[in-house]
Amino acid sequence: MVKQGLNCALDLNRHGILDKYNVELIGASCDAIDKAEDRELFDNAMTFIGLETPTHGMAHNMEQAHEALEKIGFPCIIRPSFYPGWYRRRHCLQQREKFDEICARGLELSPTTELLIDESLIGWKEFELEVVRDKNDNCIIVCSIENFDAMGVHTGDSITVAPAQTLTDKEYQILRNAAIAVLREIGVETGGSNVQFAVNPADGRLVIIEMNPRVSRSSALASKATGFPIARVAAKLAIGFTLDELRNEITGGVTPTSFEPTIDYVVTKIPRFTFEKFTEANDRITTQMKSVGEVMAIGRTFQESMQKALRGLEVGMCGFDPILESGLSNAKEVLTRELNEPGAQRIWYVGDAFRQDWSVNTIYDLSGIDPWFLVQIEDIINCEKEISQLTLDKFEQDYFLHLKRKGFSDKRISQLLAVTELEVQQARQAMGVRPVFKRVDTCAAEFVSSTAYMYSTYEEECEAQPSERQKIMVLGGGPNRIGQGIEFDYCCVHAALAMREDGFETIMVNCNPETVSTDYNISDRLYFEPLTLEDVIEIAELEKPAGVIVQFGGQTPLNLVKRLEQAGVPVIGTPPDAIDRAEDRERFQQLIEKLNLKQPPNCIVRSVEESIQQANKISYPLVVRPSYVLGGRAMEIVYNEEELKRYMQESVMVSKESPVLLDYFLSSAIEIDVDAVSDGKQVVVGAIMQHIEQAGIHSGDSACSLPPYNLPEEVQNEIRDQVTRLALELGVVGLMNTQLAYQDSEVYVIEVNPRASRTVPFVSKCIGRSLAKVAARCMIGKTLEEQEFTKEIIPNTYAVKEAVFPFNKFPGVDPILGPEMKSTGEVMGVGTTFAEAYAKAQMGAGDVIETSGNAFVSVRDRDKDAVVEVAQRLNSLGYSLVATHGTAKVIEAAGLPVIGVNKVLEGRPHIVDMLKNGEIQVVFNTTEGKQAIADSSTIRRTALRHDVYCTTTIAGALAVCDAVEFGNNMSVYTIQQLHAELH
Amino acid sequence: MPRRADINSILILGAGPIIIGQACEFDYSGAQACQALKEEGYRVILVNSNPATIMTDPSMADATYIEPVKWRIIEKIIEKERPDAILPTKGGQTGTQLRTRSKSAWYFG
Repeated sequence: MVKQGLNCALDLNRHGILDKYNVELIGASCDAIDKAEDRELFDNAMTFIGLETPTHGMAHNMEQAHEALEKIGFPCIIRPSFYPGWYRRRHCLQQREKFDEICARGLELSPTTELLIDESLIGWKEFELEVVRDKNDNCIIVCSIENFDAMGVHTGDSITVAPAQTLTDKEYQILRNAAIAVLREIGVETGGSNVQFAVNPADGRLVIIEMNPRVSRSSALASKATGFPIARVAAKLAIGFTLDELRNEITGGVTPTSFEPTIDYVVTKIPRFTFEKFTEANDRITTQMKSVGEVMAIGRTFQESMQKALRGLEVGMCGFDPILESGLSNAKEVLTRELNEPGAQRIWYVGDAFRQDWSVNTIYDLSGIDPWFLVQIEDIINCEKEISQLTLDKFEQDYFLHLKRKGFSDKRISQLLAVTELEVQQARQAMGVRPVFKRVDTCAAEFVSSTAYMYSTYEEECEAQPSERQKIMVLGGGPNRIGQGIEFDYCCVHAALAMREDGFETIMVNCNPETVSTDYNISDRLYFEPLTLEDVIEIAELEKPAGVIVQFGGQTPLNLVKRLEQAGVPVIGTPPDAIDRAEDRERFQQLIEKLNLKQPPNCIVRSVEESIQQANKISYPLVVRPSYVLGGRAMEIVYNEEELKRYMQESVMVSKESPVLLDYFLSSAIEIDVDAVSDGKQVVVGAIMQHIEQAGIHSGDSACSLPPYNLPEEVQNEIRDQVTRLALELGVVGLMNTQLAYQDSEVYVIEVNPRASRTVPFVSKCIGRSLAKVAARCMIGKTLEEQEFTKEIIPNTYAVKEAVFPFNKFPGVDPILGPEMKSTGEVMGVGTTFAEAYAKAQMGAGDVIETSGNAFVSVRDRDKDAVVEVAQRLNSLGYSLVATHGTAKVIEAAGLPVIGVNKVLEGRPHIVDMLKNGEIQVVFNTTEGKQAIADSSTIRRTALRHDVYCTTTIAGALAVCDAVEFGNNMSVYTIQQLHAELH
Repeated sequence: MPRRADINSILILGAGPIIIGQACEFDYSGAQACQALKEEGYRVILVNSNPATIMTDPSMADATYIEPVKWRIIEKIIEKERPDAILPTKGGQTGTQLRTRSKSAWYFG
């Protein structure tokens, strides 16, 4: 693992660049980084200050393995070095029996014939301390964090709680002293660090697992949990200030930053997973982090914060919903496995175990979750049982308050009572049971805080003190997930900033601790609350905003729109009906017809039989997907009736209530994304982006070029015209994203989303105007004319956005791109030519393209014509061509030298052998159809495992040729300079 | 003690793309660092390849490079900007494996 920022700094040092240009490293020294990163140096340092680290050993043969075992004892963990699939090949051994066998296999698997043998800490309690130190050796502990999930689950994948709940004061003081000693010994002179401990619950033995001499995921969480801005303070310490000299902003400067934060509430973080996107992946959570986002919630008790976090996670749960199918014959086995080998939903299985009357001890033995937490959950489940025996009219004010203080949502109560959420809400409000809001202030209310960073709870005193100013409220996007990430948070932040600049008081509601939107500086008032109907309505009724912005937070706030409007909350911007018109299949079709535009032939089906009938009318290939989804979940391309049948029967449960959409697939189209902004009367195109991968790849996964790199000008003009007409017809006030396809001289409208899209920040960086700010101002009635944004800005340089994928975290998953979105992030490359921009984008994405050696080419029949150009270019770039026999024939016919190689099914030696032997340097592989994809997946998976650059489209292959041709001679540009040239 | 007067410009290294294990928390901390140093009067130079971040907004730094966070590119930026110091601790952790390197590699991971 490399640490990008730190590693880059170490690289600069190693190559003598810091010395050459006389640049000083601040905030960390190379020595300290090395000491924290290098296991042996770290061990020695810890021993020196009398702290223990887990015992471990290394072995190159069986003899050494036995020696190591002598020192470590059982249980121990064995893993081969440098074996990419190591996290699946870890073995936790309890006894001797299998030791030899597993060590022998491990030695074989490791390319360096090396085994790592570690003392097993599985089941130990895990704690983290966030420490800040200045150059005068002042140290403060910002926050202690306890992992709800015991050791064995990566801390990023654990539910975590702050402050630590199950330590005695004496134990806490021991950890505190140890953490400070670690910082001193490692030599972190200034700044924040994170120290992780494991504690053996049996005998209290304490070991240091690791320390990070930098801001980390945990420090962001600690900042949000306490209100103490760690990164800000660390930056000031790096330039010479000391903790006592700096004032803590959140208290309005009443306290110095040397004042250690105290908190009078409980914070719970729960990770969010996306295993449904990677169905072939192992869905158990282990020491390899797999979550893609997280939610944080604040409550006065652990129970309240936990239940708030569960509903804020947006996975369809509103508390401890039962998850085990009722009447399951093997319920005991399922529960045992789910508790013992945690998956993404273990927390709900814990609830189910209590529902089945399992004891705290049994659950503890299986899960290692501290009994203190289990007792809390048991109590919640007991409450649920009690509620389900009552009726709403039996509820009294005290009882309601009692439940709300434990964090029960109206919705969960309504489920248990078998009434509607609205009925519970009305009954509750009629009894005057309403939340109050408390402030996060770093000082447990010892001093009055001027910062309005708030959370809800059910107590007497409300500290919200809403003002009489004109307010705009922005609803954020909740936890990050694939398909809804940081791009939407960027838009929310810009909306809040624009509204503040225009003199409004701004209110942000969000529950994602990782983001900038939940920095209390971004808005005037921050409500760290789940984005559920109940929580949002309570805030809206207290604050009475003049307008609520919902179109920037992705699908999360949009899901609430209808019910918010019914509740009288003033939603501003594009009317919700326009969203429905764009999302509802039949209404969208009417819209397209009315404007005389084209869309691919399509229909909606409600049964398997109907789908086959309709498919014959439209003809294959088809894009198939369930209605109403974001991020292309469960979307596939089918090429014949057999595949369609399988999809309808296996992949989706088609029914009257959940119909499936069939679209004719434009298989050789160029896809285009357009972001536009409208004030209701005028429409301005933000940018036209041309996708590099052809149709069939999800727009979020495709690389794109701004401006388009080979789309005819008249087509672009046609697109501008169509987008403008669509926005006006829909009555868009704010942002609109349109996806189009161009094939055989026709422009087709694929999709219209009258809301912020994930390309808005990219476009804003390219054109030098914040589209989100412009859009927010449109929503409060400012025209585009008034904002002096009346003309599309077309840059004279190229920018390429490239997607970044998590395939290396999911061994066994086929890294092929398709209509379902799989990327987690993006990078941008800028250049004076498309080639330069594309080359930088690949480099930024971390992909290494070898510029010589063997290029392997294997394409589907449809690409056999196009492959000749790719082959010619690879040949002239100096690669030797290797191809599967079918493709080789085509290349040979074009007069190019090529070596034929077997497909895997054709017998050895085959292409995968060549990849494993390091005989292939780049892979160009296109394929289609379920079976062919499955047959060729080992090629792509092997390439991924061996870090061989692999592209799965012809257009991608051509762009790679451009990049390689361009070479390494890149120039660097500041965006300030690029923007100055535009305006 | 006042802030250090012997340095005038600081280069901040960003975290690059969002991947599992390195999410937008580094945008949050990086943005804070930019603001904290700017308000002390330093010239702030920023490199980050991720356009979806707040820290790469043009107002956050005096010179913003949306470029790969790779040493060869950073060298070019150092050559051009001549910063006095580098603050690397906001960069986080990438989940990519150490790349295997060969002589013919066009660039290094």
